Amino acid sequence: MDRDEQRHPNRAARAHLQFPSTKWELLAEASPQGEQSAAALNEFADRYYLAVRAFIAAVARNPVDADDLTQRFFETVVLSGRLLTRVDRGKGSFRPYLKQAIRNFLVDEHRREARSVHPDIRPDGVDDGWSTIVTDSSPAPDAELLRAWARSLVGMAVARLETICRENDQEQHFQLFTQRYLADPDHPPSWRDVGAAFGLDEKIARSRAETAVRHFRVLLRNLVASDMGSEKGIDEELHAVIAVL
Amino acid sequence: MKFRGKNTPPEAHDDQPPPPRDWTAALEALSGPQVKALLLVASDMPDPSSPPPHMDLIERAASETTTVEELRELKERAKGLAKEAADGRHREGAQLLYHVAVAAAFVRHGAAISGRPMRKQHALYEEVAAKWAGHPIGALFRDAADRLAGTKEHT
Repeated sequence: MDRDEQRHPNRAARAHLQFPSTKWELLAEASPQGEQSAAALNEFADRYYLAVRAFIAAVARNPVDADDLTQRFFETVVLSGRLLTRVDRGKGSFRPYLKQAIRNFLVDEHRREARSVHPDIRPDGVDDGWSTIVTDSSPAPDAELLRAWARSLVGMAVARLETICRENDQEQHFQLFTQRYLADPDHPPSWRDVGAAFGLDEKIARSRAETAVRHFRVLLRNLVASDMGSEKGIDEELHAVIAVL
Repeated sequence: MKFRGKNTPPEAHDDQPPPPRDWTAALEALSGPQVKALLLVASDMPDPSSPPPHMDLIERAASETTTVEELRELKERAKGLAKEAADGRHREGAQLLYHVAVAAAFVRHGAAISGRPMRKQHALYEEVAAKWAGHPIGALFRDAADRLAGTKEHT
């Protein structure tokens, strides 16, 4: 073991927590030709499945259709590599591109079903169905996608935080963090109460939770940055999400 | 989401802390307020559930009815609080009080109560205005920064 490994024994174990530097790399790895296809695809689904489903559900307004369509979107657009092959990597943020891909997919689906004898997709009884609903940017599906995307990223960051805390023998730090921020976010318990639940005084409870907070900030901000392809504008992105919650 | 469950918590005793809660189910269904609270933790915005120390004094300094003389007193008090601060958080709270008092004197009364030229505060005021956006403190620093920008343009 070299000096660096001695100083950071958990670094190798944390390799799986490192993210691709951009969503484009993640998408490339998730494609059928990608070297780490399965793992990257799982991560891609962790990040975007709920967001895609929320967007489709806001358009379709039918949970059964939304589940089927989301599944089909991942099969025919993501797994097939179509999402990657049509991408213009110079166009920056990924979400607008993803939304347009979903819109195009829904239009294609509607046209395909309209040609079939027994269409099983019901565009809410509107004559021109999906094509009139989804071609224009609509604030409701956009907001639903943003909320669901934020939820996925926050969930991923919390799960990864737990892994890091466990590796560092800081499980109590994680419990203090969750007690403070997840137990009752509308009425968060005081640091005194958080500490009392673990037999700790207020100052130690706060200090340990703040260690977890620092890890969490890095994890979540890295996730947002890798989605944006840049560390610039992370706070603006976070503010935009907070505004729709 | 894969999340480790804690299904067999030990029995609680009077002299032991209660067992940790099973967070698996909670994370499977993160609510909007939970997501928002955690986004605030990760952002540079002030966490409303954890206001800075000396918030009562800061709010008094930001009030429209506070006089210049009171603002001078609050500014001096902030200096003392910064010197006595037990940790970085309390020092930052005292520093915020200092800047709120100076900015409020400038915006509400057109008075310069700090020895430092106001034009040199512009970058700092922009930063505080962004950090406290949506809060009366943010509005105060926005106003102060805009006035300083206007002053710059005219000089």
